[in-house]
Amino acid sequence: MNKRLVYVCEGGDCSEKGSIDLHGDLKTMLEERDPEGVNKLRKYPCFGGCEFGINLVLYPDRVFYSRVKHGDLGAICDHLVGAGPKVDRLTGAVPADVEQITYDLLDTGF
Amino acid sequence: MALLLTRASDAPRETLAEYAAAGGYEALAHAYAGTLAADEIVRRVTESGLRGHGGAGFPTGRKWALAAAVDAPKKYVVANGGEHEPGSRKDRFLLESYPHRVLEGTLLCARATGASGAWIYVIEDMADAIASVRAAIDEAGAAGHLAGVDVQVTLAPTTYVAGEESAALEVIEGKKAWPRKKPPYPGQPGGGLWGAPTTVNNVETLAWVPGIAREGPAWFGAGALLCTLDDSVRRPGIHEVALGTTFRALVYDLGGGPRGGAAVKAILPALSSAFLGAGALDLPMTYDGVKAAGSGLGCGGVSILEEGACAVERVLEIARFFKKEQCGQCPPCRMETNTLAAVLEKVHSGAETGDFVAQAEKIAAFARGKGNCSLIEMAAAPVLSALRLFPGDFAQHARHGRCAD
Repeated sequence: MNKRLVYVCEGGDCSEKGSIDLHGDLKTMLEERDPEGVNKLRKYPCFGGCEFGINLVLYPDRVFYSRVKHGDLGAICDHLVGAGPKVDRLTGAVPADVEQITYDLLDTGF
Repeated sequence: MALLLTRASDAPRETLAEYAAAGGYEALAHAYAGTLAADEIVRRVTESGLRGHGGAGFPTGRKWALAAAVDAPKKYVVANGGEHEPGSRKDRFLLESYPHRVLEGTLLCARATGASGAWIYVIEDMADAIASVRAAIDEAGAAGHLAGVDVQVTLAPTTYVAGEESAALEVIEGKKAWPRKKPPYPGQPGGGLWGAPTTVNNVETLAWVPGIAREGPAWFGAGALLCTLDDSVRRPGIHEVALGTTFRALVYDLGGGPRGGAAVKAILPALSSAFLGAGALDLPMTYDGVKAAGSGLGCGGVSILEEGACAVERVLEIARFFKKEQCGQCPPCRMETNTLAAVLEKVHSGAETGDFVAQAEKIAAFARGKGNCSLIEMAAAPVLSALRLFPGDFAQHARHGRCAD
């Protein structure tokens, strides 16, 4: 498995849609399926893709998942632990500049 | 000699009789009598150089000329007293102490632009101002000064963006205080109240108008503005200053100098403006001069940072304010205000930040020009300027989570 950071948006819109609970559920799943902690779960203040939330970003993969629901966590977790492909149906929703600024900021260590 | 604040700062509300004795409602009487034409009012305001004192500094005469030129069955005027910027209290003070000057300015604007209705927009927690304005409207109505113009008071919520002009229109229409997408601007067809062209002016801007309309543009001289000095100086308060006055004269002569007695480290001309270094103390306060120096006069809520004070803490405080007060309508603004605050929280606490200067610049560049209102620019200006002016403060905090000893 590749080391990666997994960011879950905790901005106003995403948290209203349940991102805090989703973060907690993903944390529980990863503790079970990734006990070595290769995937580090983080909260992110706001990606600016509010209307497409809940948003979740994988870095350094530069994968931007949108409209993530609890039911998507199994497939996301499969990908994170190397047991499945990237979940393409959750990608490509946010404007390109939102994705770009997110990766630009993560590149600077934010 | 003061032109606008002609009474003691603790004087009670100026009554109609007191205002009339000082020349109040003379210009309006001439306007109603036909001896001061609408286009002459606009000419006088234009030639005076009066600009919007709510923060944007747009030339008032140009705004009025555009409104007057619009052919529409209904037009309106709004006196915007939605003074939500921390550190600014001059609009509240004018509404409490000089309500007739604001009211006459509003009525002159209505006359000049052909408006039939006017709203005075006051924040709901300004109890004294609300009472004062309502009393002034009653007095002016009884004296015949309203001349058929329907003047109403609308209470604004206390949220920051409620003072933005199109958010004020939304509130008056009974909706949530969210800025509108522009264009159309409020003065254009489709952009104002219920679609009618609406001239929105800051309360202070309107308070200057009666003197200009009555005495002519030369009365305003080189221009003037009200500045609110906060408690970063020894004598906080509201001061009328001529344009061209230096920041040094404002801070030291009127404000008594920095509260702690140290030298000035930086000047913040308004919360939503960029910091200026101490070298700007001798900069004359003019719209163009302050803009050329990289900042803006804004609404004149002036604060200073003195030597020994932590720039990081002050900027973090401002970033937290904008994070809390962004209305949530525009995703780029949410992203900007949330992430700028997060970057600064990390710097402040000494958490691992990476290249925080690049982060702040990238965030601001992403947000620039987006969003329905100018809050998106306001949030970035103090942060970016402080990062440029005080790199040592930020580097120290980023490394150690505290200021240098």
